[in-house]
Amino acid sequence: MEDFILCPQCNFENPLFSTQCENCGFSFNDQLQDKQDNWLDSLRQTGELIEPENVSEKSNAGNIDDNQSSDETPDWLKRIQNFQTSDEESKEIEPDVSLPDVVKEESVQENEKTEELDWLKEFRTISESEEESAAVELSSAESEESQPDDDSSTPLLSIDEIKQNWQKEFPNLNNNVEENEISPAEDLPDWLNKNISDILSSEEDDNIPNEVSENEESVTPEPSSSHKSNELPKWLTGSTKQSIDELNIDNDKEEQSIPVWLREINQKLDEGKSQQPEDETENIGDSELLFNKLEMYPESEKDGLIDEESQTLDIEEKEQESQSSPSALVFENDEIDQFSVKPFTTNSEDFEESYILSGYDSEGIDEESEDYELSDEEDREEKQLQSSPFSFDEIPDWLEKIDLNYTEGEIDGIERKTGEVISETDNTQEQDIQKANLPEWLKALRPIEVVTPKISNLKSQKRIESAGPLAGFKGVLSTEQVTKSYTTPPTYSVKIKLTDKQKIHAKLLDEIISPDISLGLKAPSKRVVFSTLPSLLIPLLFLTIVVITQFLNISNAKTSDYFPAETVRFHNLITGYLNQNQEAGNLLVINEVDASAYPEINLISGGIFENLFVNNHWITAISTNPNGVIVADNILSSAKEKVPSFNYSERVINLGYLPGNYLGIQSFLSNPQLTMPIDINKNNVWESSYLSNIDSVNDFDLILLISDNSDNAKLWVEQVNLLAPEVGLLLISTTQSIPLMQPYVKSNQIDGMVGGLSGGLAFNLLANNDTNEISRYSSFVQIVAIFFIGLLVSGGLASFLKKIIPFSSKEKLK
Amino acid sequence: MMENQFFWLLLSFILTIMVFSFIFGDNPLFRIATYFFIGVSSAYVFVLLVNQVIIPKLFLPFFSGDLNQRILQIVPLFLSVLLIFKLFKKTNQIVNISLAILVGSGAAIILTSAFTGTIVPMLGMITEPFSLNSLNIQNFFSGFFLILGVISSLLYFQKSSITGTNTFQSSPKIMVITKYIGAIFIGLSLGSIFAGVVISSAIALIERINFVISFLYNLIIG
Repeated sequence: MEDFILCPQCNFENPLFSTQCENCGFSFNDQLQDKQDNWLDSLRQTGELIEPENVSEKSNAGNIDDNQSSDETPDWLKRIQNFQTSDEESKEIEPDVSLPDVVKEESVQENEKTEELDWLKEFRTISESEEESAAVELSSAESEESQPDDDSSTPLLSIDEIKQNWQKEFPNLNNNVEENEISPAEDLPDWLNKNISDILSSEEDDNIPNEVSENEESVTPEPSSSHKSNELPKWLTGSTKQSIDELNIDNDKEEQSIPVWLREINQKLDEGKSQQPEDETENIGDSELLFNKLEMYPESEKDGLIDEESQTLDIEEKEQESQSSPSALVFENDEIDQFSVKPFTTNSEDFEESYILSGYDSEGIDEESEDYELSDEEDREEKQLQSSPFSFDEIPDWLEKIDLNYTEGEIDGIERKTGEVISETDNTQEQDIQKANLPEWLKALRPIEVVTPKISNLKSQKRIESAGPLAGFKGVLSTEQVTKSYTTPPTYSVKIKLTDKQKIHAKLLDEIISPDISLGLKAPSKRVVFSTLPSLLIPLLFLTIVVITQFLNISNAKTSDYFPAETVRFHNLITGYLNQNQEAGNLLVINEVDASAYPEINLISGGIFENLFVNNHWITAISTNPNGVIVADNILSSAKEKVPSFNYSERVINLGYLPGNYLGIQSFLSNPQLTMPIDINKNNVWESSYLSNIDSVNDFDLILLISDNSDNAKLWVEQVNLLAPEVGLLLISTTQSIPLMQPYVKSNQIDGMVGGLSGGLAFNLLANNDTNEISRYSSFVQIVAIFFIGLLVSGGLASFLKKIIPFSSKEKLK
Repeated sequence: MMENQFFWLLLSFILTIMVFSFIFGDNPLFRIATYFFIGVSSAYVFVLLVNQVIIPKLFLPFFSGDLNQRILQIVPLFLSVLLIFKLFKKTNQIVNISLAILVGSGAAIILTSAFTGTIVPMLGMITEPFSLNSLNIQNFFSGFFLILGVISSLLYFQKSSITGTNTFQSSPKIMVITKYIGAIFIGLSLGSIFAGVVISSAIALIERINFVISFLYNLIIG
């Protein structure tokens, strides 16, 4: 760490905290501040700088890996690197300018032109001739600086390439561009345009470069060149004459390297005011669209000075052409300043440094530089606001890949030709037209193809009307395209929220209706028909047999001589026990029968009830099955028809339905009067009928249980044995419940049972009743039973054969 | 009177034919007939319950009974009202009071009746042949078959195994044989029940066909 500050101007060692050079008055703060204000410094510091020398060395060495890596780097990174390299070079130049060691040594290398530039900058303050030479040197040096950048920024487009791209991309617009021709001022930076215009306005005959003259006049009007020479430091005075001579020689040599365009500008200035500043501004205004295009390639703007040399010839031509063909769009200087992007901040800073180094009044310079910086900042902010949303950093890749082969066909060619003719005729008129102050939004307009390339494709689809009042117009009937471009209608999904209840209802409805629909629509396959054939044939065959039996006289079918023991006991209890006292007995009839069992029960119990009716017994009916009430009523009613003498309404009481299942049974057997106080006709039968003598179930002589359901029958049997064991229990059962009720008969819990048709036939035979109908039905049942047995056997055989046949085939395969 | 009978006979004939249409598979006629029967049965049960249970046994005692009957009638009425809360999700647990009384009393009745009315008499029936008073060869064999049938049938439904033993290990041969014997007894029992069902159904079918033929005969001949 050094304990002193070395003045870059006079090399004087100043104290560490000094702000100015004690010897020459050089301000250190300005230098630091300038460096801090440079926005590119941050960019330089953040990225890894690739020095041009290293790059060139690497490229010369032919390092394939580096080339590959450079190829792999994206375009945006390359641009940033190009910025960095260009800035690096300028940065390398800056300290050299400030370093006095270069001056002390006086052995400046000629190939280091940047040092020469610095020398020239210092001597710019000495005399005007020296300033001219310095400006020329500066321009030449900067043009030389642009060379490596141009080499390194190969992907960047030159102005001609951009024009070509524009011609390819927007042929319609190219017409205007070609017609108007880009003015030379388009490629010039703003500062140069300004200076040129100022110079022209001041009508000075000096050939001084714009920036130098302007800055001299505007920034430091008071000090003159003689003062500047007097203020030179001592170390410089000794060698001034020699250095001036040498520099004059060098300047003569380097005048040859002054760009042609700058010479021509100077020549024009010498010739005196041939060009009006308005023309220049108009040319600038004409180039606004091109600048918009250039915004997409800011390298060309940033390197505007660098590219100047390569564009000088174009600019000369454009200047000449712009003089002859003024453009339609004309902007004022203020507007141009707003539109034009500040391109060369670094160069302006270089100029400031040059002023600082020249030893002018530092305060004045500071004020001016601050104002300049403030104006720059304001310009930047305004430009950020007013500039297009597609700045350099935000330009997507797709925008760079705009279809350059886009053509609109012959129609566009026709339009182009007509447009040229019209523009030629209008150019003469437009010269007289005053400049228009267009709004900002209109100035910011750009071709829609720049923003949305897809629309450009649609544009080609636009049709020129060939007939009618709109003939010749293109794309005026926009709805015609809409009607042609048919798209499928959008599909919307709708969800219906259904409640569970609604789903159940829908399911029920579907179950009812769906078989009807599927019955007629589906064509059954052969396999289905074959499988459904038995299920159709068997019932038909069964029905046929049953129908045939109806017409057969088989009423005298042979019955077995053997009667079941329970049936004999049943007969004995009904005919003997009830009639033993020669009085009418009280019989409780319990119906546990569904309607499906009515035919069988009616057949079995018909003879029994006839016998009871003949003997005028009191019958009380009750049912724990709701349907049993009707079944019991029908059975008794059918039996009554066979015994007309029986007083049915008096001797038969139907208590109706006994609710509560086993609880009701238990309650009824415990207290019948309280459980069933009224009969089915809502009469209090326990007081007004024969039931007045009965207090409990035990008072009944017999309990006759009629059931087709063994479970309900068991409940009654169990409860009766538990609560009324003294009462005899008889059972009339269907055939299906016989096997399950037989154990209770065997265990003597049921005193007698008539089971099925065989039991009913046996009872009728024992009671000498008419057995024609029951024997007829029993014959039918025998035939049907044989048919069923045959079906079961055949089905069993079929299944057995099915099992055997696949087994044997598998064995064969094995 | 005769016209009314004919109407009901005609209606029953049509409904019978509609039910028989199930021979050709599920069809709307059969469905209409079945839904008709279900609807009629449900309506009948509803009317029966209202007329014979709710009104005469729940409300009439409050108007016709004495004070004791009225006080006692509060209990079933209260328990019946609690059953209404079953309709609401938030209060459906109140129904448990009524259901607890029903289930508890029903279980008590069933257990006692089943024990005294089924298990004890059946055990007595099974062991009766082996009583010394009536012991003979015929009773012995019949009793032996009864015991064999009961034990084998019970063992057939024995699917569990003792913990700690290998469940995959084959059971003893005697168990396997006993299970086969139990299967035979169960098969015979179910076969007899099935035969009874078939015969009962056949009788119902015959009765219906007889009705149809007789109706058509009477309709044609007069």
